[in-house]
Amino acid sequence: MTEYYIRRALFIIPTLFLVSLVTFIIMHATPGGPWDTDPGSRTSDPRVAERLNKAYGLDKPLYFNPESAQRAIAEGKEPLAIAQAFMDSQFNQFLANLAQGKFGPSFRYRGREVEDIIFEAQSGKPFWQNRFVATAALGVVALVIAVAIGFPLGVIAALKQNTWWDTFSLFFATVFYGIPNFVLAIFLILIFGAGLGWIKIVEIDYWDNLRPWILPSFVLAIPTAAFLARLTRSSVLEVMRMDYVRTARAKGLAERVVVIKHILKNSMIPVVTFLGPALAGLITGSFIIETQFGVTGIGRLFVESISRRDYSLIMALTLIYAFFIAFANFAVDVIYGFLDPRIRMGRG
Amino acid sequence: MKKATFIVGLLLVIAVLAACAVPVTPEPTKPPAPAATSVPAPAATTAPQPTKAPEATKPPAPTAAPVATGPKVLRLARGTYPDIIDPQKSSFGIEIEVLKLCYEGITAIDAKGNIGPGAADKWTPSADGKSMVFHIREGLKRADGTAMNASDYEYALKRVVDPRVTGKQYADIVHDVKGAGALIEKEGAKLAAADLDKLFAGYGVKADDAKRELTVSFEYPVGFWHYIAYTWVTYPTDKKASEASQDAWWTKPEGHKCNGPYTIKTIEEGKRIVYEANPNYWRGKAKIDRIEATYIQDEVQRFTAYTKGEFDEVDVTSATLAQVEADAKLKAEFYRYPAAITTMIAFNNVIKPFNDKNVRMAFSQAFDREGWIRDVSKGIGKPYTRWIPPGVPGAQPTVAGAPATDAAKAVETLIKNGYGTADGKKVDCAKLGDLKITYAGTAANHARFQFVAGNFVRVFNCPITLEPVESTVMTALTKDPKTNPQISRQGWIQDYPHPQNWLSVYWKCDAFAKRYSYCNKDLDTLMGKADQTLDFAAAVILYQDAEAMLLGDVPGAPTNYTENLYLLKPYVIGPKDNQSSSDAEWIGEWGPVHTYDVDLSKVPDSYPKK
Repeated sequence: MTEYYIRRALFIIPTLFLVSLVTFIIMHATPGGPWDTDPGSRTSDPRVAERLNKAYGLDKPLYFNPESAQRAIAEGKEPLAIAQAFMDSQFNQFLANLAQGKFGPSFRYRGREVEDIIFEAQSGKPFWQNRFVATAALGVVALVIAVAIGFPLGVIAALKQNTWWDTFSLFFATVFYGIPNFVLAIFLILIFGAGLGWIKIVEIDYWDNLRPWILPSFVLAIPTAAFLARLTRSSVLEVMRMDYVRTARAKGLAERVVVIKHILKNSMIPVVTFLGPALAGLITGSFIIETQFGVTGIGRLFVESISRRDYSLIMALTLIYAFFIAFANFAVDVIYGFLDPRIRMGRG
Repeated sequence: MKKATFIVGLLLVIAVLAACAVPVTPEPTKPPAPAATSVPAPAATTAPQPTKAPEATKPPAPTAAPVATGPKVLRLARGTYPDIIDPQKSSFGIEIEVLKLCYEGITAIDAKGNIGPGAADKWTPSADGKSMVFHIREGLKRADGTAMNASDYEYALKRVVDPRVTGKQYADIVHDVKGAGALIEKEGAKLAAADLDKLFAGYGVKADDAKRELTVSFEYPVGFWHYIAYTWVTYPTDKKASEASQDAWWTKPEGHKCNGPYTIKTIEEGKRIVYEANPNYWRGKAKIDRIEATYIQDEVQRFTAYTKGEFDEVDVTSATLAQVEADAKLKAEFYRYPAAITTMIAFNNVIKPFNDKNVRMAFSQAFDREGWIRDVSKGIGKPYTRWIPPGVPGAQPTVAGAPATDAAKAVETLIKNGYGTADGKKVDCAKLGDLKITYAGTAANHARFQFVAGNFVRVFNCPITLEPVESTVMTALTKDPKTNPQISRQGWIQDYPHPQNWLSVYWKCDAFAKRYSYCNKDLDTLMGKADQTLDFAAAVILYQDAEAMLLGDVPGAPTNYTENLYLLKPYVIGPKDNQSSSDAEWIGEWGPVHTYDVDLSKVPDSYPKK
């Protein structure tokens, strides 16, 4: 069993390697570069890009550097030095940085290291008040809200099928899964900010009090809660029709025991399968929600890094996202084993 | 298990090998073509006259304490957060705005575009125009009380060309300084200490702290360098802070040892920058105690927050203009005035049919500038056929520029010049060839360029292809003369209010003009002559001649200048009286910020109490 989990965990490494390679290929195949800013911005001198490429190593080949290796051979260097010269490329530089726990310099925030941008706290603030924690905290709170709303709603809808509970659950799920969360965000800002004046239109002090977190986490949670309600309902309904549930009832078990021990536990597998990647998605941020509510997190950074071709930042954030997806799937596999011992015996 | 172990092992080996890889130092590249303003001079036409040194301004008497209690705070609603707040690396208006509050350059420019004393109380050009001596005022201090001298500015001017300081975007602005080019071109190269010393020894910036003098020497006579001396690249970055962390010193407020009207109190990256009045500012402590710049990307959200009293100033865009104009209260707080930004329909001057000046003229005549402003810009901006916008010295807004809008004349121009049908009644589209407009495919741009294409199709009755591309791709295409689009929309945002910045910096053969494959040697010579003319009035006349020559060539068709549109609360005193075409970010940005005030007796309840 332990061997399975170790093997499963180790498999995350080649997964991340492949993700970074594919991202790197796509990123560099896309036209434009980090120095090609918005056409509406101040125009920089034509020679600047060439100098910046050189200073940031973007003048090197993408994967391997045979020219550099040939020079090293011509200069009569040692085999290790020749191999090093051959590996002196942009992708290998990224791997070299990664092996040292670094993501390299940002091309947009010139002079700053990517890991500092993501993980460094604002000046004078505690270390945990950084972009990553802001996004992750928002995501975790959103997931808690989503589960707290979606799961009970789905269970009640299934247990009270074809009643007004069920209709309400269906209405909630359909409406809130269909409404884009940026529309919901604007709607709520207009009601609670511009209309009722309960919140500020522009919240700033996220780390100083809890109030600013309520709306963004709620908006982020609602589509997940809606989907979760639908998923839970159908899963519970499916399990309720199983023979072992009928048998449990026939044996005279109390309805509470049947529901908790036999129905809920067995209907959790598809829910858990969904929650893993959902958590990864939520804690790696939402561009729109972070932008609309002024949360300084990595979701906003991710989208901006793509449009600005900030290669190091794109690689770092993609890897973080991939890591969370891979880890969430691993965690889901582990949880399966507890929910259904037959899965624990399976071979990956 | 074995396969997985093998894959993991292989990856670890690659990672370790990659980690060991020593980056090979790239070969030094050939020195590039000379800078935009570096054309070696024919002799200066005007006999150099030492500039009359402006009178040293006496520090004003201490301001009387406000009668009302509570702090005076100016709350600015801003859009995009700046990427870099480093004087020698920054280039965008949103970055310069921050630097301008915290620092002051060697000279200063006021809201009307007049050059005046900054850190230097006087300056004197040499008789041959090949050097300029700036005298740094007595008693100049940073906000923390540290005394300043000429060497602080020498450090800034050395740092902007220092090869060890990478990621600089505006180093070329000092290209006229002796030896600057050689240093700039080495950016990022690993140089031996001796080589670096040699390069710096040849650099034309020398400080003499005993005399409080900074001498800047040029490769050739330069008549406009006191304007460069105002720019943000001369702002005195603190040597100790920047050398402790050459790249990231600016991310912390304590890294900024300000000498401008304000000092940076807090930096909340992506969200807010708070400034406090600098008690040691040589012009006197600012009347407003604190400026809070809060960054909100959504323009409507910014606007709504302003209307709810969360901000004292906000920009107005096409999305919010109608609402402002429909509301009497907002209209009273609304200010609009010309901005120093000109846009044009740019042509690739070697791609057919735009290699023919007559075709470029016809397209300039065909473009409906009034319609563009009315229908596309939603009334923001003014039609314009010249390049230098109003408010910049040398601008001639009332003089005719590039061929003005006249659809009938546009068709006539083409027919007369061999692009008509055999009967001479209409344009022969086959003779004109394929026409394609390339643009950054944003939602707003689709509407803009459908207008442009529709406009030309309506006038010439010839098909035009629209090619939307991603914003970043658009810039990449534009930069390279080989891929520069046949037709595109371009513009220029002013660096400093001097005609040299509008002409030589953009239209010399080896400058931005190269992108459009436009080169006029006579124009280059004329602009070079103007650059080296030490008498400002005489130089302006030469620049005006140069602009006339440029517009006669029609390398692009100027369409309009833009406007600054801002809302300002009535209790804020000062900014509305100091509007400037250079205000790229907020109303009164270029005015005497230290004199701005807040009437606390008129502020609403939502105004900060502490």
